[in-house]
Amino acid sequence: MIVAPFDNLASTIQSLIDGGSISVGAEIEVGSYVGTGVTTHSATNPAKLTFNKPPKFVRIFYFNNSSESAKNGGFFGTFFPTLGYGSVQRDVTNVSYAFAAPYVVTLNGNTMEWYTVDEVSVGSANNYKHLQQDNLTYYYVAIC
Amino acid sequence: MQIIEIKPLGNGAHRNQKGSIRTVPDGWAIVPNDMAIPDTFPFVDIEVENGIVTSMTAGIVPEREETEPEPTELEQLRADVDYIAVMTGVEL
Repeated sequence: MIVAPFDNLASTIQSLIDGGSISVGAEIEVGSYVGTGVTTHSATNPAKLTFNKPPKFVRIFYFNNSSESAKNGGFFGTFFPTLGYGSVQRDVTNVSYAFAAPYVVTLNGNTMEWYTVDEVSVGSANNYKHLQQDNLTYYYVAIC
Repeated sequence: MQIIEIKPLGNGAHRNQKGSIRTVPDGWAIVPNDMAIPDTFPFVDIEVENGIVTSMTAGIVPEREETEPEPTELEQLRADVDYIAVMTGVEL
């Protein structure tokens, strides 16, 4: 599992923006969540993350150092909420375990919601492909 | 700040998030920094007062659904060969 000073990273980047060292209007937000174990194939019960401003780009990732890492480790999601789409992929070099699937991404105020309609690729029971493996901590970086 | 959705999902887990959140969404509550988090998190039972979690106890973790088996390397290779055969009009 990744252990990284994300809170420090956020405050450092924010202070650079506030101080004018990075002259952008964007805000970078970082954080984490623990997976709920839920798989979602419809808009009725999507996964959710809330930000301080509507996010334009969100990257979610984790790395699992367990023996299952070849199969289940290294998943990451790349989402463009204002454009309405994103994808989840498996970040492994073993092509037998390659995986990528499109996800529907919506914005509800400052909350990003995501789910997949690609049940064939994702499967009905594979919550890790939804970035929702239970009891696993996921980290995110967003440009808002 | 850590926040948690007050209403649990169908499997008993609560959506949750930790980050530099300035506004708590409707239906969510703040988890105090000094609150003990049970090992079963996010499968927990919570009590909330005025938007702040006042109690968090271990919930029931459901039995994990069997994940669908991934194709073996041989199965994947066979699928790739079949795909190439179809695309090139070759009969195997």
